[in-house]
Amino acid sequence: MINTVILSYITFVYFFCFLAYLVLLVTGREVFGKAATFLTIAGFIGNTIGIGLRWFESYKLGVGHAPLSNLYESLIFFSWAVVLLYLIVERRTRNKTIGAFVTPIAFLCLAYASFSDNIVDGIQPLVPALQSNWLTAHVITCFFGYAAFAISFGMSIMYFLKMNEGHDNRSIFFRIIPGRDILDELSYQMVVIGFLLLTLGIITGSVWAHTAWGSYWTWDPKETWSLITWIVYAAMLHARLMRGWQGKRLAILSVTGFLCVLFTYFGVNYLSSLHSYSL
Amino acid sequence: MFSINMLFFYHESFPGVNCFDLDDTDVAVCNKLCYRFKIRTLRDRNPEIKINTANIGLIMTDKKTNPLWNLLKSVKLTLVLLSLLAIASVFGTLIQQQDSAVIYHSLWFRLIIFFIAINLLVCSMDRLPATLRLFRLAPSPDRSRIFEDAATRTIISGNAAVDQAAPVVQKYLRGRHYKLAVKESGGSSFVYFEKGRFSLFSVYLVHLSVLIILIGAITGSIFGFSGYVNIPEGASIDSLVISEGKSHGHRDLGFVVRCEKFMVDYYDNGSPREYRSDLSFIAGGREALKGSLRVNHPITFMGVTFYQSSYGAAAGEKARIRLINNEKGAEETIIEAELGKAVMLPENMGELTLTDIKDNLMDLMGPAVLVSVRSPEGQGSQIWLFQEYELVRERYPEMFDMSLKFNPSAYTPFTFSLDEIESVNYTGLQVSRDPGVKFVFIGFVLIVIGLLLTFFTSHRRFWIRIAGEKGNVKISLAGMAGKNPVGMERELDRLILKLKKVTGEWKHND
Repeated sequence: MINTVILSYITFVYFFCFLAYLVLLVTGREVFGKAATFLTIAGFIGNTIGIGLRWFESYKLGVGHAPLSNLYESLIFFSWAVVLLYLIVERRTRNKTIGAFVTPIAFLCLAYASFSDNIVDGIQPLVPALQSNWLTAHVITCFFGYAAFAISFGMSIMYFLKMNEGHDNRSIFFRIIPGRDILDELSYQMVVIGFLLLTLGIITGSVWAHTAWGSYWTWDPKETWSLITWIVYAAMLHARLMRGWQGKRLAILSVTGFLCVLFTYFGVNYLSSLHSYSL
Repeated sequence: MFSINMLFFYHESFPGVNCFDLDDTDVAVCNKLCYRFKIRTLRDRNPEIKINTANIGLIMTDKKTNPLWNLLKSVKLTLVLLSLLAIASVFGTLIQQQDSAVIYHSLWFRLIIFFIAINLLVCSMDRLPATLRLFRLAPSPDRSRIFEDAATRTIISGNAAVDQAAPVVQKYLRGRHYKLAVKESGGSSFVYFEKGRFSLFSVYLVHLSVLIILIGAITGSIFGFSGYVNIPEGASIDSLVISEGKSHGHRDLGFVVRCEKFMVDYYDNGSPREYRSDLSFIAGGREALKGSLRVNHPITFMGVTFYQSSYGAAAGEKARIRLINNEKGAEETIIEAELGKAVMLPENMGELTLTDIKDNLMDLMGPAVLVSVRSPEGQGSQIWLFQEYELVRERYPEMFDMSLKFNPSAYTPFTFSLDEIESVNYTGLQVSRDPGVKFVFIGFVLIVIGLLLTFFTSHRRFWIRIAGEKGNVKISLAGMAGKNPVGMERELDRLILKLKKVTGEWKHND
């Protein structure tokens, strides 16, 4: 199918984005930043076309549905959401260095989707449980939430690196990445967005489970892990807002939260789960 | 660049004290002013914190120390409880799902959740009086220190007087629907106004929503039930086995559900497209509702909701039995027998009644039926017939030796065998009643509204001072926000630009 071919090419585009952002970090030359942004926008457009074509092809196969129904489709949507959110952040902060820490996430997800043997990339018809408008709402809110957490994670990694900046250390890298206060604030803002969307994701999933299975909460491993993730980020927000936590301690929490996100997304598939069709 | 939640006190709670960078004397003054509370600065809590206009606050701890209350409101308790909840949940996800109920439905797990709720409630109650005070607070408009300490914008005019400029500014702000507090003092004109005062309560709304969701969950587990039932096609049920809820065991529904038909529809690739049960609901002897039950489209009848959950095939009430007449050259006859109905045997050799049907006799011997045969003379006998006769005989020979009940040739001149038991499709339904679900969903809506208000609105307060200075008029605008100082700065920029426009030609001076 043409959509999977296009998306596998986009994997390489995202890899080159990552390289361009890395070169920018090392040389500090604006031209690489411009090239990186250009490549990222091109990759994003390609990613969008891939998703759109896949949607269109599913209708041609007579099983039309939004491409949000299995692990492959969630991965390509996740990459798309990460890059979209990143481009917005880049535009607003006018700092391109964050890209070096975010585009690899999109690259890895697309690479996993395109080149792993465990992943079925065919368009599958929706089984009865998935035939619901809640599916779309649930997947979009969850994965935009995950994307925001991913960007916050990237910023926290930058924060840890920035902490090594010495007084006499005037390397290009330290000069062009944002200051610690800015990274801290941006990371926090991403967590706020992610937390709101994760809340919506859990709620839409819960309402959907209520109509599909007759119970809004069943302590299914995916549900439970999403709750654990929610608690970690809730704790992080309270630590910052109520206790004035900042900087390193908050960055550690952000990384912890993102590890929980990863486990909710991938790790749970190795446990028995009602979400098994997402494998 | 960062912000602190509005649950901290603004310094206006203590008029006359400059709290922008509190030192020990300030704290002492605060403590005198407010006898009930012990005041500490933010910096006591966290030495790393950088104090700026946004995060200025006082942490007030109640001096009245009720140890139980202090324990229940403590953030340490919150952390301990949440960690316990997380660890228990993680453990629950690592064991098999059917076993995990041991954790999630255990008393101690529910106690953790109960104490989280109590902790949340006590924390909110503990802080509410302070928030209410802040909410009711009407700061004085003539506060000169504000213009030095808070984020401030200034414009200077060379061609107006204070008593000319002040009405223009006030008129403009009133046009924007701000409620103004105005004061003339020492030749200067002061204005105070604010927005988003209700934002102070948004975090309480979030916490309240969590409590409402928990109340819904408790309501459901006390007054609701959940169970599972199989209905063969053409059959009816009026009760079900309860798997979750207060009363385990059987539960009468108070009405009858009949499954007219069950269907599975497939896609071309063989995966299922639709499971559908045509149900009718009969109450008081009358059919009250008829409907097609599909996955994601539950049906509610008399407060009980039915969900399409599974399906399968089970033994029906008919069986095909093969007879061999040993006297007439092994002549074969096949008879269709229905449970409880007598069938004539060939050539008036008596009658046969199917008296029992087993899917899998004693869970070992496969499909079997019990038939009673009665000769025309009135002699009767009962025989178990197996579908896999040879196999069963091989495995349990002593059983066949002991009793004539298993001998298929016990009734001369026939040898009976079981050909097939007719199978019937059944539909598997999840059945539940949950009066708590509406609270849960109300909680869902409120928590989203609460989070939006918490993160995207803030209580912003503005002071304007219009003062004469060396023949010019100087307009100063200061603003304070409970959170999002960056947004506050932007708003000040917008506002000062507007003031510049409405007051005519001004010379900008930052």
